Amino acid sequence: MRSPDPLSSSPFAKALASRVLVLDGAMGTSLYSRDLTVEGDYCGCENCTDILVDTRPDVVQEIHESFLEVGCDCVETNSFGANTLVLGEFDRSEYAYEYSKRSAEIARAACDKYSTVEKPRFVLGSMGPGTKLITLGNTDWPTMLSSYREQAKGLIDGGVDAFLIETCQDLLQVKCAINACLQALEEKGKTTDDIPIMISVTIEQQGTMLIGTSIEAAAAALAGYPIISLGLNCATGPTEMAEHIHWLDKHWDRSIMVMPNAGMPVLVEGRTEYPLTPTAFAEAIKKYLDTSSVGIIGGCCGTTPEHMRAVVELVEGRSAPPRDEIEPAAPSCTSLYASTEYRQDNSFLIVGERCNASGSRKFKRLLEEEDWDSIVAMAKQQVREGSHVLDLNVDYAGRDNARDMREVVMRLVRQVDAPLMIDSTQVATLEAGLSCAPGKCIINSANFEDGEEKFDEICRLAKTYGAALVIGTIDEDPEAAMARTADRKVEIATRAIERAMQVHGLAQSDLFIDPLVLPISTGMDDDRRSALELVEGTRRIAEAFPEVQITCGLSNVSFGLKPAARQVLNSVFLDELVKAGMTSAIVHASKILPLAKIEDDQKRVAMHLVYDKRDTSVGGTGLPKADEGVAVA
Amino acid sequence: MRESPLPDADANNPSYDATYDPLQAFIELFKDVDSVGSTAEQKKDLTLEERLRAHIIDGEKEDLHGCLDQAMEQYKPLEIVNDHLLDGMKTVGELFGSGQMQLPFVLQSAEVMKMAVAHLEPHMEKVEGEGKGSIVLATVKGDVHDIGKNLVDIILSNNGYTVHNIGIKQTLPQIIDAWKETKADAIGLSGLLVKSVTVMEDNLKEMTEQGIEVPVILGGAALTRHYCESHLRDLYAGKVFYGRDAFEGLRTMDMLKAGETAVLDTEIEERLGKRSDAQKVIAEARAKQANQQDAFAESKASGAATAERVRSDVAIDIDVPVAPFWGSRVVEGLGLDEIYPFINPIALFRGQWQFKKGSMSPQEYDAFLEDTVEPVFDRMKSQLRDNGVLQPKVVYGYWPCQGDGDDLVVFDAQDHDREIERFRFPRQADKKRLCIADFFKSVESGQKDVLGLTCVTMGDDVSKLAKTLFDANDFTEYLYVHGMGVECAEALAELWHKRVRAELGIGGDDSPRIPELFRQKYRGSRYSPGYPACPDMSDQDIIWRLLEPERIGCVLTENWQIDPEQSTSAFVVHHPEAKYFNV
Repeated sequence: MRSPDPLSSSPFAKALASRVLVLDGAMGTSLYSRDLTVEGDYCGCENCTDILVDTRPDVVQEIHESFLEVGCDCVETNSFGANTLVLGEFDRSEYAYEYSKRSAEIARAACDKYSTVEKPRFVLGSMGPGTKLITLGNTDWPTMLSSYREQAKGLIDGGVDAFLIETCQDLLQVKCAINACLQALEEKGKTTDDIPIMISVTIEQQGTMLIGTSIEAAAAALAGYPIISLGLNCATGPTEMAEHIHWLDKHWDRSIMVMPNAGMPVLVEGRTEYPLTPTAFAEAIKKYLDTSSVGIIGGCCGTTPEHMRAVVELVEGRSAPPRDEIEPAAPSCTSLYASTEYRQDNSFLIVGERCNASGSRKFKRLLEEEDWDSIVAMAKQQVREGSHVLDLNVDYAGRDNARDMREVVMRLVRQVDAPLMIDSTQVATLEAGLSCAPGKCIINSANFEDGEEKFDEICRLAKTYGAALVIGTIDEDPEAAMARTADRKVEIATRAIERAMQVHGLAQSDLFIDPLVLPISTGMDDDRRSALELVEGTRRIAEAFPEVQITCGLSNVSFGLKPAARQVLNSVFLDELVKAGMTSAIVHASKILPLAKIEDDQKRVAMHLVYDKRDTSVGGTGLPKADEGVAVA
Repeated sequence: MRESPLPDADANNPSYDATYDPLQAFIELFKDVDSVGSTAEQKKDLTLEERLRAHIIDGEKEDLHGCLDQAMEQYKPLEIVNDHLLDGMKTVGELFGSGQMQLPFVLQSAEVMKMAVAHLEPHMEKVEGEGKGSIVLATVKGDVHDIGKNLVDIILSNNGYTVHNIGIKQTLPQIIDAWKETKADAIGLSGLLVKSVTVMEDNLKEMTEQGIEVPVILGGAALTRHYCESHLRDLYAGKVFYGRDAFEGLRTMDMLKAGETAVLDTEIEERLGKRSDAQKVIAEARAKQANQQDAFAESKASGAATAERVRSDVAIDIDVPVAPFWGSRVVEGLGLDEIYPFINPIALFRGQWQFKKGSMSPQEYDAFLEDTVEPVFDRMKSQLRDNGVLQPKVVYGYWPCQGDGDDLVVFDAQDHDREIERFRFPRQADKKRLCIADFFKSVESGQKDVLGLTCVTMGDDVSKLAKTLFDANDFTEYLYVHGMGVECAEALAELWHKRVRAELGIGGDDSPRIPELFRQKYRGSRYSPGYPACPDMSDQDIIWRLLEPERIGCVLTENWQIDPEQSTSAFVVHHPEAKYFNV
């Protein structure tokens, strides 16, 4: 998913595509240095700086102008906390829209005073992280979404040129804020072409976001959203940010923003101090300009107009660094902490199957007992056995599945470092899980069995929550909805891929086709060809859509056989599928045997079974030749 | 080789007829094969007696009462305790001793034991009111470390002894009073510090003077078995025993009460006799080293000139970093999330929490840490964040300084020519002849150098919480909380050392990986008084005059330990060659 065309209608996007832009410095630091009264100016709400757009617009505008005066291209609105959740802490949640709108109007007025044709000035609508960490359960998605939506609507009506979702601590919060902006834009009849969205995350001193997300995982989880830039602000000074900015420089294919503090903050004798002088700050920024392709530079805590004057002097006349030759990071899903590439070297993406109420008796019992800790232990066990991703299915008639999904997801995302495959047949259960999962999940699954309406609904979930999507080859056919033949598998896959990409804008690499594993173990003639049709279908889908992922629920193939036989048949069949182009499988990782460990005669007969080597007279594909079917290990 | 089930008996050259059905052949092939599949091992039902033991060994509280009630139909309550539950505790002790059981699980067993006794107690016949025996337990004067002593308390009291645990920093008169009052069968003294060994020694001499002969059990990290069983044993008129861990203490008490001290004496004599020549050589070397340290202490006491001591070859042309300010500053309001990443998990898991690897393979141990220990760590982090008992505070600062022989001269923060303090550090007698003073510009150079000092604390509330948990018999939790407090203080020291390096502009050599910081992958070093390179604890007095850590609630005990315990102080040295060394 690429950013909007830089030649779109937004003047800000055009400026960003043509030259390096300088943002303003610290609003908070500037405000705290003014002599403002708690009772009068803050209406008794100490530290609620968002109120000042109402009580002291003169001071706020004066600060904006102090940065415009030294040559900054953009100012951030004084609306860091102007959403219903934060203002609620001061009993002022109903002012979110109004304060946001006022903040944008004030910044607009300041910019209009300084804008020229050669050097237009821009208003960026600041949206801070708020006071609640959603991944830790301090608030929930709907509450946070409406909180940010009020803010975004106010910022639009006040006339911002872009949204800047900044100081992000929590991936789930970022996803929620982006959706709030998109909803507000839609409501106002606008798009991100009119008002682009910028994201700036905060990487703490220990090298991750507050709750542990690496920059790689953040970039992977956010890449699917229509954002114009990604960058870093706050927590550390310019030097400490270098490592993460350089990673973005290599792997992020849109604009990069850097907005450091004036060094590492120190609380000295009760006061916060930032050590870097304007000259030292500018020197550190110069290193970025010389060694990486940073397109937007700002100052966070402790940066004064003097700091920004020094930066403006450095940046003067620099054109925007090219971003289009960047090789984006390989398509990945992520946990809260780290990313996992879809394509694994010398292996397939192993999706652990055991946390499934309809597939594991143990999991079902733990769910009944609500023994959440043991469920976490079970998940960890699968990761230890080699699973890259964990399937999670709590569908269980008679229980509140959405609640169970939330309970389990909330725990797994924090305690297990593996991306989740949220698995359910119910839209509400899927959404319950997705709205608690900060990382980039995989949804399992969408299909056409109930028509395009439900298919579309699940595609929208993938879009909203930034997830990848498994699509089963099932359609509305009243006789045989599940695709049994290679032809039908390819036909439905093609239809689904086209619809997901063209109608919903999902990336091909984020689609996982599940061409359906059906048992070959029943002895019924209808089922005899199931395995070989799947191998053939897989081969053709992989050829037609090279970027698409192909996955399957492997163990179904051996349904009803004894455990030892299942293990052998599953392993042999999987090997054939991977050779045909399967990139992933949902399995019990420790039960997959390397072919070398399977006895030759077991391997040979398993191959005969997969390819239905019965005599043609009884409908098979022909008796095996004397030595046929001995897989070469 | 199994017989081939294929139609043609020759597996290497099978041929197939038109009726060949791979599915049937496949099913046939696995008719007698279970090996690749998993077969759940059927656990046979345990007998009642086995279940009683299992409750203790597994630390399993679930259905404990039901099991005990059933047992009471057959056995008297006292029989249940003595014959079955204590038998389980004995197994726990053996497993612990052989490294097969981790301390937190031992504590879980102890908790179950306590629950079981509480359940049985109302049914017990009130007999002569005398338990198995009693002991007074104390951590000696000047020492605030009480975890080892408290473990002894847990194990002894759960094995039927009456324990009078009188706490930390106990002077000899307090200990003797407690013993006289309780008429205990023994006194147990504990201490973590090297200095505490000397205190124990003094206590034993004084008790002999007073004509006291009650058996004494000594324990603690700095005390060695040999020192205790040879030197200390000779000093005291009564019996002295070494307690390596709580279970050895238990065994000693059992022997004492059974009147079998002769067995213990024989064991000790055998051990002493067995010390090989090689060990004697080591002992001599140690004695020599001790003499050197004594000589150092003497020279320090007398202020004798040390000019004849040869300086090391440490580089003298290192640029002096610019101090961001002179004097000291107090820093508060630090977030725990900033500190947690600097916790050394190895020190916490293995050192504080005693999750030893034992006989586990590296893979098993990793799996064990991940499944069992890390969830506890996660829980502790959020719990201690939410309940606010960890209150990190720092006082730190920079002073002008110069090396003068073995001395480090510290100058006034304002008047850089006025000497205000002087540290004296020991010098290696051989090897590189290192001395901390060598890492600074010398008096002769005419240049001033910069010395960093830090003192960090996590506050007193975490000690209070630990005590509350202990008093509530929540032993496992007690161990976790105590360990977290101590390691958070270490983490804060590490974090602040990093901050100091950044402020001095020498942070560029820092490893980007936090675990490598624990191995000094950065420029310079941080030495705490008591470390091998600066063993003299009285340096703390000077640090206290300079930093005034009272401002963050830290005071020194008479042994120069910091109270609260979850605190640590250090010298910060910027010289690239400054690393840990032994004198």
